Amino acid sequence: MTRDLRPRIRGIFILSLVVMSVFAARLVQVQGFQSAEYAARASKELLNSAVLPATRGEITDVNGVVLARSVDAINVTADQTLVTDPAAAAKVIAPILGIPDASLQATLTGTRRFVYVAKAVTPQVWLEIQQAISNLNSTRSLENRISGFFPEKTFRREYPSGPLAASILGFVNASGHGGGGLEYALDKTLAGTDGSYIYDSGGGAAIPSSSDVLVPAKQGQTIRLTIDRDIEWIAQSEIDAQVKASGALSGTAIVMDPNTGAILALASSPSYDPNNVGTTPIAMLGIPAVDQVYEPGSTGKVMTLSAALEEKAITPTTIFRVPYKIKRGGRTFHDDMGHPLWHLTTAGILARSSNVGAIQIGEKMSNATLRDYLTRFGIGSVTGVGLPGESPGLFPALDQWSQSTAETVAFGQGYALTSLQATSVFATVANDGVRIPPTLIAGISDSDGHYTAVPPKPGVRVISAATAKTMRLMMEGVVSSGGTAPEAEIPGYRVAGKTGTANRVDSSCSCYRGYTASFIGFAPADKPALVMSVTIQDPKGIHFGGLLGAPIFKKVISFALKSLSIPPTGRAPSPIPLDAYQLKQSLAAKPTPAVTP
Amino acid sequence: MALPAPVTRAQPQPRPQPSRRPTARPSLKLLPQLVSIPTRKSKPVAFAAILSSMLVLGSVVLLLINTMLAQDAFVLRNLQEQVTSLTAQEQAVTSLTDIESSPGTLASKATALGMVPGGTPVFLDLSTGKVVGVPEKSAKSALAIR
Repeated sequence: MTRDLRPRIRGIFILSLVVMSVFAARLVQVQGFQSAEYAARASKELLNSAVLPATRGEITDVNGVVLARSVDAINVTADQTLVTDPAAAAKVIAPILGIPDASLQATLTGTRRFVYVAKAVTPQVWLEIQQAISNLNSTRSLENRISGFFPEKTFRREYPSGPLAASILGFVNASGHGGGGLEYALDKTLAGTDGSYIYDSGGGAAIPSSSDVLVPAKQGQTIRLTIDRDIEWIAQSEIDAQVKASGALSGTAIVMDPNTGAILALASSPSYDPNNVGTTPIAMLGIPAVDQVYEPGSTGKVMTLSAALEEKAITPTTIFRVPYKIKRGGRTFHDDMGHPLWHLTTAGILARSSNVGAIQIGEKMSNATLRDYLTRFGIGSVTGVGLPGESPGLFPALDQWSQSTAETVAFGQGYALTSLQATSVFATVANDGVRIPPTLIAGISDSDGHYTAVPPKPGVRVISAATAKTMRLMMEGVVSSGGTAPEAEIPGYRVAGKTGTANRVDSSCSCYRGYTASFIGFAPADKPALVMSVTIQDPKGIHFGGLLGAPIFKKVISFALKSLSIPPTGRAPSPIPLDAYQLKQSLAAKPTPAVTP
Repeated sequence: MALPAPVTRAQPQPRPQPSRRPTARPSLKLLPQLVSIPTRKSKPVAFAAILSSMLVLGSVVLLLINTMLAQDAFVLRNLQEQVTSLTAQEQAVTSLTDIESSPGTLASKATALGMVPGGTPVFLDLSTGKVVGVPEKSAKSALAIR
């Protein structure tokens, strides 16, 4: 009856051992040798990864008013095979997108699984599209319902002030990176870093609670400019109006705080709307204030006179015999308009803007000294304001000077600068002879809102404070009834400045054709708080800087003085005699002259 | 594996030893051990019941937790959708405010109301009561300065 079960047990034992060994071997194969392959296959089937886009930082003005920001936007995509009735769908969606019915219908018809219907629309528009489709579907039978529209998350760069400060802000290209202006120059700071996350999916949909952020997105930093939006606006509208009225090619207006180098306004005309950069001609996308150079003309005389005063070669009341014409280096130079022999003081030469007088003052210094002073004023080197494509200007080396270069340089021709460099020259005189590099960036805020101010740039002394003060007094004469720019006068304030009416180099013929009209000035003259330059290229008709530039200066600076609450200093000016007759009279009235160099 | 135990328990009865010695001594008294077996038999049933009830309870709790997590995920998703929609609304309103408050719009609206740009800057010094600056009539103003 008893059967020995042991062989059977052993058999089963051996059999299970064999089976287990096969299992173990397979396990080792799967887990050990092919684990990477299987893990990859599993993650491919289940695990998805996606990019967490970083929001681009804002650009604000000095008071935090937003000039450029990124907002959520939707790219509307479609699967043509799912859009069962393109005609009906196009009919309800086209009015929402504001595109022609027929072109949308063409986009929706076909067998492509992925097409863009509209790019970067507002989320509101996407909601309206969804609503319109569901309204349409409620009237249709189940099998005729329309689907196949999908949203794709993206960002849209918005410039709430439109063309305001467009040239310095620049624009963002289709890939979401800066394509011009500060958007390009500061792209690394603004862009931030995209993050990534993974999620499990089944049947095409994400499984709830399965997502896991791998790398959080690092938001872009916010840049605060030194620009004041309101001053920028008035500068922009005034320069636009003047460029249009004078039939000029272009124009720039720059307002700067000479004490800090902060640029409060930098307007270029014609301007463009960075919200519609796609339709703007490429030629308009530059920054004329830093990438276009011109010969300054009479505004350059300020540097010649500053140098001669600093070198003690002249005093403000040195008398010069100024004829209409003068012959130097085989060339004849003459003043703007014919006149009899004048007996002008240094101040008078500046006020009347005499080329012949400026040549005589320049001759009191060596060429090397003159060039050295201009170099220290910043001619021939970039200001370092941080805008892309900045030109250093054109300033020939001393060994390339011809026989008449010194004469032309003395009255502001024969070299070229940008309007920002020209503004910086006057800011130097306004800031007691210390040149502070112009700056556009006030500070940077990180994504937590922590603000870091940009440290002030160190200044370079170009001329002494006394020379600068004398220059300012003489430049007040320009903005007087005896000067070339009485239109710049602001009642109650002391205003100083200099006009410039220069021959303009036309690049199409490489010859002098047309003019550059400019006015650069500051207020209050005895305690400068604001410097402004107005430059108008190739005006038709009237081309005098005093007539084209000075009125804009008056309007913009009046506004800026009000908006920044800068009251008049209340001190009476002590005018410097402009000619020998006035000098005689003032000496008779006061035994000692009001100003000594 | 469980086979040997019933086999050994079955063995004691058919053993030939009692037949050799008829005048047998009192039996070997293994009974107490045998008696203890039924009580042991009842224990695995209770144990299995406890185990299975724990299993069921665990599964139920796990299911509940999972359901709650899934529920939370749905709530989270709804809230996220709400955030997205509210953000979009906020951005739309901000854009509109920016456009309305931009200097260009304000200037044109002010002009439409008949306002004109101010003239030269004039300040009132509160400590002395003096007017600083030169008041002037705006070029386009219809009003006179008194």
